[in-house]
Amino acid sequence: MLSLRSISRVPSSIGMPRGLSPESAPLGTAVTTAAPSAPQDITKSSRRRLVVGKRSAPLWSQDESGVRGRLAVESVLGDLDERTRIVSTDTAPWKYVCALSIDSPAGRFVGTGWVVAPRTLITAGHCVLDRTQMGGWANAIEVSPGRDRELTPFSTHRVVKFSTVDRWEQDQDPDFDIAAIHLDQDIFGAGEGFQVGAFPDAELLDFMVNVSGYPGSPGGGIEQWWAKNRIRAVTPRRIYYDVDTSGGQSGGPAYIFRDENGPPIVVGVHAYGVGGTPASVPMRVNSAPRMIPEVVDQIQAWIDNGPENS
Amino acid sequence: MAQSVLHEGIVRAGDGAPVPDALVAVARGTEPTPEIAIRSNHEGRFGIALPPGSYEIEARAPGGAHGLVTVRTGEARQVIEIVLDGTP
Repeated sequence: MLSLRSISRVPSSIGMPRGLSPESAPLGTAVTTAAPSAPQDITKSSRRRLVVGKRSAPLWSQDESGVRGRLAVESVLGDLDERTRIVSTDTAPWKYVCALSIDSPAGRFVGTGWVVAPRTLITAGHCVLDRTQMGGWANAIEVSPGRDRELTPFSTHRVVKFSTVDRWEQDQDPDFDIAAIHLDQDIFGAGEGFQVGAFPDAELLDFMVNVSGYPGSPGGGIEQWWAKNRIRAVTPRRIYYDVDTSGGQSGGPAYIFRDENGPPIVVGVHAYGVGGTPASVPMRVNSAPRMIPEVVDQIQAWIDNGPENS
Repeated sequence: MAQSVLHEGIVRAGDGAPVPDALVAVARGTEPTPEIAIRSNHEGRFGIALPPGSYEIEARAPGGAHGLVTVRTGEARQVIEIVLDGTP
């Protein structure tokens, strides 16, 4: 059975890794974090925009011959960038998506995170620790939930406590490119934020997925953009989707709605563009480390215990 | 994934002046790269980690000027220069 350990960077204390003995549900059943208990103030207009459930055909056709044009980018899958800028970032679920301004020994970066608990965010592992790109752990990350250009409706919080799993900290394994950001104060109420879920392959395939984030282009890392389409393939540790993304969206949520009134459930942490797709998945798709039971358990531990004892 | 190499880079305006605070990212590549965006420093310089391969690397200045460069990288460090075209 796969076993994950949490590794934390806590400047004021030593983070003690705790060995996990996950009592994960057997494959074939869904595993989720606790459902949000607070009402999700998702407006009607947002509900109409967000995609729900499964679909057997794509929302639009892709140009399989590849991307062209000055503004075409690799992870934009086709001639047209299908992303939409979100301006109502003070409402759910958009307010739970956070712009990250990352300061590291090797320079500054832009990424994306998302709220999973009042003082816990999830992002990509490489947004908090990357020995080659960042020179090690991030020094500090400024977190702006629901940022819209100069507007920061939920303030900006400077954070220095991070956690990741041993498979990322030791091996930089892209299948475990996941991390937590721990705030010192609550930024939302109890039960607000994204739920996290691990689902069987058959349930995930063809599920409509929403991907949100703060790309560098367009948006300069301060505009929230969103796109939608389908989960096209799954492997034991990753999900693949034909949803447009670009640099800066690392760490963003790939999330589903099981029904029209349900909460948003994150099934992957967006991390890689088309180049991250193996030859065994013969499609032009982007990808994310998949939420598997062991990862869901670890995220729940980060929520419950913070960095020191997770 | 193949081991990444940290390459140096610089973002310049059309007149050659360095451009600080530009955001740099891999737009297209033959190898997997994380979708993080890199911000150029006060001298317009940045570092970008790439496994050996071919890449299109994009830069966008705060004012919207844009540049794109195609590079082929190996295991040796190299300097990547991106010149902005001044068109938002």
